[in-house]
Amino acid sequence: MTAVWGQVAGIVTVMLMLMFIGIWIWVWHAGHKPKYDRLARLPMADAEDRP
Amino acid sequence: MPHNETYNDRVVRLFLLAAAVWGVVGMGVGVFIAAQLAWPALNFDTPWLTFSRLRPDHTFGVIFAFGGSALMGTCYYVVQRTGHTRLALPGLATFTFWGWQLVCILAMTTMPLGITQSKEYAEPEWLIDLLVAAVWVSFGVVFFATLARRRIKHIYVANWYYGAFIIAVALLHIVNNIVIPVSLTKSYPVYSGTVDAMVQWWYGHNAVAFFLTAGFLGMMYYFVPRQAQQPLWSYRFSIVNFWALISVYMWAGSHHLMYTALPDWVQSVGMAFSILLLMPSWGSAANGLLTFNGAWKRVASDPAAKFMVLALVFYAAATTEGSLMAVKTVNSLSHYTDWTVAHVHSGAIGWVAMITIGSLYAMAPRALGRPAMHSKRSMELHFWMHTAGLILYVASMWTAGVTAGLMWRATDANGALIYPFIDSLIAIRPFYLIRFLGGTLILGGMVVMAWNLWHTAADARARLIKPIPVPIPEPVPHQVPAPVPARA
Repeated sequence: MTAVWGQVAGIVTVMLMLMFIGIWIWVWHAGHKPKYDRLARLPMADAEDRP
Repeated sequence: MPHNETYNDRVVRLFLLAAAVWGVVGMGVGVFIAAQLAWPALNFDTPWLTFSRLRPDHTFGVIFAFGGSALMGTCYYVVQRTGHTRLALPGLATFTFWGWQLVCILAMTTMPLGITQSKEYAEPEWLIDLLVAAVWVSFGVVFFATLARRRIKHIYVANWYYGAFIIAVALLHIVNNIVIPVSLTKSYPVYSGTVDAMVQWWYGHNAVAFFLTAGFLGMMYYFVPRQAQQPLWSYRFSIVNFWALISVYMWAGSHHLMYTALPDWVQSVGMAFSILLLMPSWGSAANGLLTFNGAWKRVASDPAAKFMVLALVFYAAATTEGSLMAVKTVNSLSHYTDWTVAHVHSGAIGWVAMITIGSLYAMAPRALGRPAMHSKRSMELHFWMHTAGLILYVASMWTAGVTAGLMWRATDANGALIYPFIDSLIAIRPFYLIRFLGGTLILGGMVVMAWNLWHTAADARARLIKPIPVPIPEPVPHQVPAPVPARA
């Protein structure tokens, strides 16, 4: 691996790490909680509405 | 709002039946070739009965025929229920069923005849590969078209996993099978040497990642909360685990090529990413297991939930083991021994088969118009046969693997090898007998499940069941794409 590619690989790695941390922050945003709580219960509905 | 839109469970039932049949066939071949390793005379000096030709039949049969049918069936079930909508493009969905069955039959009849690309988990020749691509793209079209007409704005996390599974498997299959055909039954890959090996194991590892992990996690994220009758422990965590899994798994394939001609740094990249994989693997396993928190009494009386709990335990265990085996020093002992066989089967029989069986038991009564499975006692029997078989299988292969690995590296004071190769084979033969016994128990359990499903399907066979109406939720303002109106 040449020095230039090493620099590129380093920058890409840091960007991917920041993106991953960004996903954590986005997911834990308080505004999402009611929606996620509703979604967490979604599979239970299949058994509840038996004919 | 009055309506009569119903779920399309017909194609789900077809895949359910196919999964039960292929499970028995694929595991039956597995038990036979396990017997051949204990008693080599069982190849009867017949080319198409030799281990080398039947082994791909076993792997294709259990991974793509059994696992594939279960994945496609549950995917069609889940995408309808989590979107509160009927399956799109029913004709194409039916084509995916018959097309996939044709793929499985063609692959499993040509491979014993010696028609093979000799690429592990990608053995079928180019004509069959083209059919696989056509069926798979159709599967993706049906899935994403159904998602597009969902009536719930957010896409439930199980569908994220199913979607990643569909897209990644299409990519892997097409890239790994780029070949130059020289006849109807023979082709040569466009890759050569080390590049060919790396492309093959990029495919092979990610077949594990996206077929045997992402797809079955889709199953887990729907059927575990449904069976536990508890909300998913952490929906947020499931999203983080999703992005971690799909961004890390792709780079770990080179750990299959440790100590080969592959450049050393590529091997190290594979090792590093394999360690990182512990996070999403343990994350999903913990999320599933913690979903059962507060419902352990229910687990004690529900064999389907028992299958799911043990599947999650083995998912955590097998992925931990896999990350460790990707460390070069551990790999130097484990590679080319039965430890690898133990690892892959603790993942396949423990995680994949058990989450599949649990999900099929959970889904079957609903899809077959019955309040419960025909026989709960036979479900219980199946659980214990499978668990006993699994423990016998992996314990015997772990022991055989470590025994052989230690014997191969043992040297005397002068540095000469202590044991001739044949001694290691003689030492591990008893474990091959135990493995055969374990496999027989697992196969017996699959026969019990097929019998139980057959009886549960009595009303469906007599065409007595009624389609299940789609519950139409209140419309969400500004939903993109706009949900389809209920069909009156």
